[in-house]
Amino acid sequence: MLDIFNLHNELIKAACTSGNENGIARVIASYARLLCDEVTTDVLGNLICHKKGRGKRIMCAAHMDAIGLMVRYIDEQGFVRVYPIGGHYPYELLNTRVRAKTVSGIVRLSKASANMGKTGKEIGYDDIYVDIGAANKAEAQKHLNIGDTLLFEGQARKLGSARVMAPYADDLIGCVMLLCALEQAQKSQNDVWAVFTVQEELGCRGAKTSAYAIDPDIAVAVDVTTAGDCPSENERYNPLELGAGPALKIVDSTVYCSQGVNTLLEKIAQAEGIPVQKEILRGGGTDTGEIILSRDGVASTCISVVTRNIHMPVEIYDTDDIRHGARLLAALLRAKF
Amino acid sequence: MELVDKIKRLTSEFGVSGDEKRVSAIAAELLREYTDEVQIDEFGNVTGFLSCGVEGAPTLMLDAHIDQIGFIVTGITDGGFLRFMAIGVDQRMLPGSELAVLTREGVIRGVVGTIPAIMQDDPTASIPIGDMTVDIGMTAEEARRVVRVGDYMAFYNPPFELLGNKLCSKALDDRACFVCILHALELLRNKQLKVNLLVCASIKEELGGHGSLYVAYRHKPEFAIAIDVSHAKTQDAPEVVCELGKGPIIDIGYNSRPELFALVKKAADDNNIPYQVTPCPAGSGTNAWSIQLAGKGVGTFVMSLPLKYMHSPVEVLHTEDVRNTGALIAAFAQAFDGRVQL
Repeated sequence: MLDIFNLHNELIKAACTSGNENGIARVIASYARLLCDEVTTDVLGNLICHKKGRGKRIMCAAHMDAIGLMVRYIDEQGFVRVYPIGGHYPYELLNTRVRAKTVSGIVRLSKASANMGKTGKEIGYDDIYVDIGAANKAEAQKHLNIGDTLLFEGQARKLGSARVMAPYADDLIGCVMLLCALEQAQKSQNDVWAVFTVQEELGCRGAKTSAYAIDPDIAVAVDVTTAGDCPSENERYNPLELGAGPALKIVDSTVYCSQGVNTLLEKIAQAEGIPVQKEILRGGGTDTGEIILSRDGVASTCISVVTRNIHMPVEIYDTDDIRHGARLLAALLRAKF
Repeated sequence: MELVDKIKRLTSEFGVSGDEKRVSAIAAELLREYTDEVQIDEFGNVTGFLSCGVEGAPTLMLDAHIDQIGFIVTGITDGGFLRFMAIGVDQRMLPGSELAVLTREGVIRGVVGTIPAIMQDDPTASIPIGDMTVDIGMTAEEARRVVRVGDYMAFYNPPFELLGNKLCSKALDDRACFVCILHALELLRNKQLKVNLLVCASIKEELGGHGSLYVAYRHKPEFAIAIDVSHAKTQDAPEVVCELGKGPIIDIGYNSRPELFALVKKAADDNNIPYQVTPCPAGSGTNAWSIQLAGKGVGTFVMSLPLKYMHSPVEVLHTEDVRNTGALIAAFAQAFDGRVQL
């Protein structure tokens, strides 16, 4: 049986930024091949895993791309200027550790910008730089070139008995949940299409082409959502808690989910004794938003992992939620409907 | 016809996004020199197909857009001035600009007037487009007879040459890149290819890549290169890494598949074609963005022509870059067999 924590750690090591996901796809494919009949990639790089069956055509999507930084230019002193890949706030990046193939670095605020008294959201990408310790431009260029990407440094760490702090819960933990669900749905009669999508962080682009190609009857995305049980969030009346079960998405800023699919999932959860929460996300979207609009429409929803500190190197989730989410998704894949 | 003359011919005509038909006709005429299979679709997209004669060969789409930034008349004031909205225009460029107003009865000329700086509270502030009007020298009565709400307007600026093989004009973005494709076709004349070519002069790029999306969905190419302009270094932009005259720019970013990037780079190296690399993590802002998601998806790549002063009436290019961009398109198209696993 797949181990949630260890598998997540393995995927974090292989993490790739949006737009060039081949490395992470290879690792996920090595697991998916044991669980599916056919594993292919499409021209965008989506990893499409087909488990054949005569029942309903069900698409599940978890995105395997990760946010990061791209090298924009390297100055004469060897400091690296960057552009964002995906949604960051530059001030949240300050003092985070980043890694490339042969080098690590730290994101710093430039003295000039600090002296101007810039704070919080006034800080932009011109105000920050990455220090990789290079003595000069030539040394920096031995490790990094324009267009190279940087990822968050760090591994998953256990906090207490069930919780985990890690970079890239979003959405590698969704990929873990989907693989666990496939493992538990080996006896499914349905026609299951598990897609590990690309370019979600850039506008859910991989979900769009893969949903078009698969043309499913129903679809369920697996992604993270914002936890409400911490000081930064509890004033916003977000009731989502870590450890209270996976969240069924009702609404986010891109989609109103299929009530039919949500009702089906609720019934299954009740029958299986799986706790679930309801998600109303006011900012942001997931692959569901693109899949639901594919062709003549696809009844879709999202099973969300309640997560703190999303898009930071210290995302926190509860492994019980992943276990329950995988059981719920697996039960859906096995269901006759 | 010389390359520069082709660019001049295309950029002398007006064709703002949604109103490209006159430019479509010129593009189609220039493309017919290379293939009989030229069509103008119901939207104004121009396509030409060149079969390689190999059964089952994949198709490579070569796309450049022929629309340009511009304006639409939204009202006529009682003083006979035109109110307008802009499509893709930098408002700081507008005061004092000469515009062509494309009326039913033909092109008339106008100028963008504003209150003199000396009479403004903050003479250094950028003026909102809503506060500007176009003066066509007519009374309200005359203006309302000649101009209609919804008429298009464009920068008037005709092309002219600067020193050092540079060309200045409106609408070099992106008609110059269509000429890069034509140059590639010239270099590929009588060459045996392993892929079919679908050449596309697309419309409505400035609105979000609409025209090329229609074409990609309809013709279903396996691969596509969007050829568009990219910022070249100017005095005030030290962080821009690419320069005029140093060859085509190849993009790293999610609109350029890494496998195609490697092949294009190899084609440049093998043929001693100079090139530059630019990072585009937030999207290329080109037709590759829309083509990539047509149907089941298309393997896309972005190649760019360095351009100074993009989206202004005085865009500037280096003609040697046009030649080298065409050469790189040709070198890649000739080497490419479509058997890359994306």
